[in-house]
Amino acid sequence: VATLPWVLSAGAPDRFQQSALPSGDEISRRVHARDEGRMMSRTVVMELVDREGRTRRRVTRSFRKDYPGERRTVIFFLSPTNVKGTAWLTYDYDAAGRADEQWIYLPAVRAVRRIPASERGASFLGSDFTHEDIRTEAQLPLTDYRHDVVGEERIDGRRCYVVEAVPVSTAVAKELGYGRVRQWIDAETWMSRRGLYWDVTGNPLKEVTVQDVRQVQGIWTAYRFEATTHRTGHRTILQVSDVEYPEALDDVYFTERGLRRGL
Amino acid sequence: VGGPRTVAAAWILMSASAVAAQDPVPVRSPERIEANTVITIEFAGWPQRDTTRQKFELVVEPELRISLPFQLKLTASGRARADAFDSIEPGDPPLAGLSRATRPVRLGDRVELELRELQLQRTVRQGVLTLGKQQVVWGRSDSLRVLDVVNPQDFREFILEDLADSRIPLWMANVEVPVRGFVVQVLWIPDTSAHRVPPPGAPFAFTAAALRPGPPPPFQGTITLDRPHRPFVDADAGVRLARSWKGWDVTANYLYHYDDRPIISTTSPLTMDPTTPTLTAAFRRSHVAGASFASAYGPVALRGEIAATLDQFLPAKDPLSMAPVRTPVIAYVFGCDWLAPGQLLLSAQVFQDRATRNTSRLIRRPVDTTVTLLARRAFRRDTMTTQLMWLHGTGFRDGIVRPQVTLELRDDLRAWVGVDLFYGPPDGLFGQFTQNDRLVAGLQIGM
Repeated sequence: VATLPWVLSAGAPDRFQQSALPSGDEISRRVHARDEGRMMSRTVVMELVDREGRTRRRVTRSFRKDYPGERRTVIFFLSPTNVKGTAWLTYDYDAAGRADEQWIYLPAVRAVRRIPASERGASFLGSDFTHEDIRTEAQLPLTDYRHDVVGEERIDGRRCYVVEAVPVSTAVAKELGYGRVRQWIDAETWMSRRGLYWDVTGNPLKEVTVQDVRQVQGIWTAYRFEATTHRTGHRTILQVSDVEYPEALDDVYFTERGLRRGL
Repeated sequence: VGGPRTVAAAWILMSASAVAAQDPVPVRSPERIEANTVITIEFAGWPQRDTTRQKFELVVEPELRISLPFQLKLTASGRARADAFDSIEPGDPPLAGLSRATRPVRLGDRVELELRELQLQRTVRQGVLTLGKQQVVWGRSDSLRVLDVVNPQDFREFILEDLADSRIPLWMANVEVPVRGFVVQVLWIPDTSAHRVPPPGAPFAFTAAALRPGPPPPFQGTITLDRPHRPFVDADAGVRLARSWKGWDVTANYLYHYDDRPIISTTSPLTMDPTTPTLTAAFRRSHVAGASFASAYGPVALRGEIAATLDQFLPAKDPLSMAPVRTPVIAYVFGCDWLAPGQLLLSAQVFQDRATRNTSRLIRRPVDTTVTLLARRAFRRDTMTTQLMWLHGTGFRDGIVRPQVTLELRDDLRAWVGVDLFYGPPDGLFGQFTQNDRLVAGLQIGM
């Protein structure tokens, strides 16, 4: 019963203007070409809420910097106390076939560890987002999906293209944990405003909404993400604050000694 | 003899001068004060057997972090431990192996207060200078240490405590700076503290012949510890070069230090006359050279390290001579971590420790091999973690099995229960503690 409105709204995109719509691939390219700033820092509060309303809360401060051919991201955990001081560093390479590199600093062992890559479709820290969702900020990689535009709709008064994305192969679908994704892409900001996800067997899996989009230093920035898993009713809310797109960011943040030093 | 110490001290002084001369980097965290405290209550032992109740302790660990102007950061942390049983280290534990500046304060037999860390840190461009009491971790292994030799270790609970809790922080100067593609770390350690070893009669006192710090029973005499204490002359010094090379994180390490295990030696044969012996246990200088590597390929991470101790003094077979055997020792470990489907972490390590000279005179085996296996998986959205750890020595066929379940009850409230089960003959590293099987249950609150 809880999923009925979601199924109805997902099944009826406005198709009458389809001939004037850009292609799914074109929209996807625009999404990936969106200005995200060469550097960024932000605070994220992650709330995990179960069906009974019990809430767990994690606070992080993260930094991102683009280098030639790679993107480096570091996340420092600020609370709760049992994860405070943990820091997670990722080098994400542009080159196809070059695997990402990851390190974690665990205060419990006072050491930085090289860590194996998590499954892309595995839950990120017990949340309703996967590692891949977090890494791509819910963008759907061009190499993993075939994108088709199926119409346009308005969300919160904003014109959005409705794009249906299907993994390029069964193997990729299993890896990502999604059999199909439908996204509502804002025609002005080229950001996803809403996404519906089906699992590999075709059952509705979860919904992701993106709210409170603002311009910061001329860059469109989302301040709230919410994911709800339908089967369990579990929700994850990412509340973003203190966003900056600085002109300079200390390289030491993105090093092992930066992880040990912390904030 | 003073070369490595002098070079380390000079390097750190130069770096400190450079730090003082630098302009602050513009994008840094603001000035702020953070304070938090972790309170842990833990029981260990078998509830139905009075003689094996090891501890029921309350541990309070406050931490304070202050960000100061000019890129300075001050971190201070302490630990107060109160134990209802006074069994882990019965009575007044010997602390002579620790320097006065590092030694904890004892309030009676059951309460101990300790300054764990007090460090002032300054970032300068790409480098970090840290002065004060701190832990420095070299190496990449879990549970057992190969290259992680900078800080001594507290063996009050053998190796069952987390390494971060059992390492003894030392007063030192520590600078890390990038130089021509390498990150160079230089350490100067005037704190001459050594391992803290449980006294005879404690549950985890070493009794295996190769590990026992003193003569075998029926020795009734006393052993006085001759610990080096001159901050400059007796200081340790170390350097580490680190870089990334074709996807591998590699380091080369060197430490000139006093071995943290004292050696008892006499010039005349030891008689077993209980009226005679007052023996002296002394620490010996040693050079440790080593290297480490780590990389990851998809769901698999590989790591390893090697440490060669050029002059190690080890107990001899002949209990009457007490003359230690001098030999180089090479230790190494190779580890593999696999994040299997379902986010199941499987981790395996093989440690080997090899004495290379005068091996026929050693009590210990010339080659010791230990294998460790770890399986860990989180359930219920990471609120429940199950873990099974197994350490096995192939020489004595002894080991320890440690299953544990941890529950995250609330954001800042964790509870765990597990058992530590030893097996093997009494001369093995683990087998010597077969009387110490224990149930462990704990609760931790963060504030």
